[in-house]
Amino acid sequence: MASMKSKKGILLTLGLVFVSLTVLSFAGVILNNSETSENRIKEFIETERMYNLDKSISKSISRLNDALGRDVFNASWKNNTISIDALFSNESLKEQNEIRRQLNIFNSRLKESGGYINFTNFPIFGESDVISGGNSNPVTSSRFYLKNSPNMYIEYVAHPYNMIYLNGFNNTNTERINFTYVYGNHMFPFAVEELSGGIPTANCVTSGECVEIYFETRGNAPSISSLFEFDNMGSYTASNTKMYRQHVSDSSWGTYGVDNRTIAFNWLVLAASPTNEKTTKGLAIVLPEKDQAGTFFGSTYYGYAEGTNSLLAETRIELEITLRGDVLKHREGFMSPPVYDIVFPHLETSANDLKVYFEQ
Amino acid sequence: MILSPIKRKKGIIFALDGAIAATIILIMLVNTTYYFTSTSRESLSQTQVIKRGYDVISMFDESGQLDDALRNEKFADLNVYDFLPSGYNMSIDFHDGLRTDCTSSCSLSSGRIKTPLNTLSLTRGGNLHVQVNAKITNAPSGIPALGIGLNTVQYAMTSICASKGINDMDCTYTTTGPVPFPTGITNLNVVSDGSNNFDVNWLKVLDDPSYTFSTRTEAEIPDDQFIGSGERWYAGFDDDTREYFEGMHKVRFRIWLQ
Repeated sequence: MASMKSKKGILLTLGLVFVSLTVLSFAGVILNNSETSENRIKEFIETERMYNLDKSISKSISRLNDALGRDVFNASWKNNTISIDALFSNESLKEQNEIRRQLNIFNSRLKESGGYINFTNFPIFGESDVISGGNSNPVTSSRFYLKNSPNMYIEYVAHPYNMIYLNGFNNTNTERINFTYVYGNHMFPFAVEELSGGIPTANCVTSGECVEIYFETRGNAPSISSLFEFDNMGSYTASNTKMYRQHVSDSSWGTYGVDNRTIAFNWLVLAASPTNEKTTKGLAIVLPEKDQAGTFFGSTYYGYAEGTNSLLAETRIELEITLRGDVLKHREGFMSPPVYDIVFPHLETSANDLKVYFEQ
Repeated sequence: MILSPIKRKKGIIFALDGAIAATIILIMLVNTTYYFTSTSRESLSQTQVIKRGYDVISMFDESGQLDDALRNEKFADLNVYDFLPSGYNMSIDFHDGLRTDCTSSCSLSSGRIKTPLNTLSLTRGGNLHVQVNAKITNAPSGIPALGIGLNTVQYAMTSICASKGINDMDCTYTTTGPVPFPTGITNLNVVSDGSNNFDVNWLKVLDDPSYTFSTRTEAEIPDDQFIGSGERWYAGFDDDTREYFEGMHKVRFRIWLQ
């Protein structure tokens, strides 16, 4: 009899434990569900806030840039062609620096009130993390990646370096580059010259996959077209190489008609690379400079020399890059590298009455 | 039936265990049910209202109504009720949207280097940036520079200028660092570089609430009715052609239950 009662007691206890555990596990599920639900709501609001801040910051910077009345750098992509129109002037950097200062001031004001945006660089003419400057001049540039092709980017480097750098454009993805130098009443163009040292063209006929560079020159300079292998440049030489130059002359620089300066086409091998790029090689177009060795790119090149690179007038370089291959399957467009972080907002939430406060 | 003392003790312990367990489970159930039901019932719908607030402020920006508001220094004909569910209200604060217009001694020729300009009654004071807008009325000599004089100290300013012609340049100057405002200050000196002719248009002390204008008419939003807030950046311009940079602004909104 006693053993029967004892068994019933054990069964009852086990039953109670089982029921308790079941109820407890349900409680856990409900609790977890409610926490997850609140977290999702927080994330939803945080995302919304960051999206709006990001969009409004981009728009504000774009408006600021427009307000200066100069289209310093325009890039567009239609069908298989990228068109670039870059303005080079001695003033452009000063103006862009003003935008940077305004953003800095605005940012410092935000910081004083518990700031939530941290500029790691600047979207327009931030400090280049791939090209280092000579002497005391920092290299300020704007970089535009081809959407979905992080190894291909266009970097516009401002005064005093005055350069357009095309990283990752090669035989596989590029068919043709049209180059046009647009000038005013100064710095007149003369002939384009292929430089000794050899532009690799060995496989152009057999593979049919070479990049054609077409120099559409104006004034006294005849237009020329040239084929060469971008892909082979890296194996041909691991260092910077002079490829072409367009002679530019002005009476302010000496005897007119003599090669006072040059628009240089260099094969550039960068020492550093941003995070995602697969290549650090590309075509650098620099204007207008003297032929010299310097520390800007680390070896012999045509490029910046301290104190000799003042432009006599505003000039433009227009590029039309015809693409081919897989890159054409991507969505057309450009994107800038990330230059600011938005800190998660200070949220005050409670499950029954979610409130969203942002600190003033 | 008489139970032995050992069995009686077991029963009490068992009953106590059961009671404690039941209490704990009950508390957890009540709490979790409370959180679960209230989160899903109210908060999610309220986030939708906050999202609507972001949409409204973006729409005002894109449609140019923020431009109009800045130009007129007030929100005219801005009806947020058209875009909100009934029972909700929304206010918009335009930070640094007001300005102190220069009304006398505004021309600073090369011989006249400073003019006093009254500020609004500063609500907060402290370390604040100052912004001045001026037109340069002669062919610029060098980079036209303005500064702010407070007591005996002069504060440097950076500028964004737009030019429509050789004698038509409009610049907005901002102090590069904050100016320490003592309490009760009512005027500042705008100091010219002495080599250019300036026509001072306006001045504002950034981040002081006295320079914020709002759609809000209520003195305070009751805390138990407040739902949420959000904000947007806005680069302002002085004229319809968007040529003259005016300044960077925060535009904030608040939503609450009426």
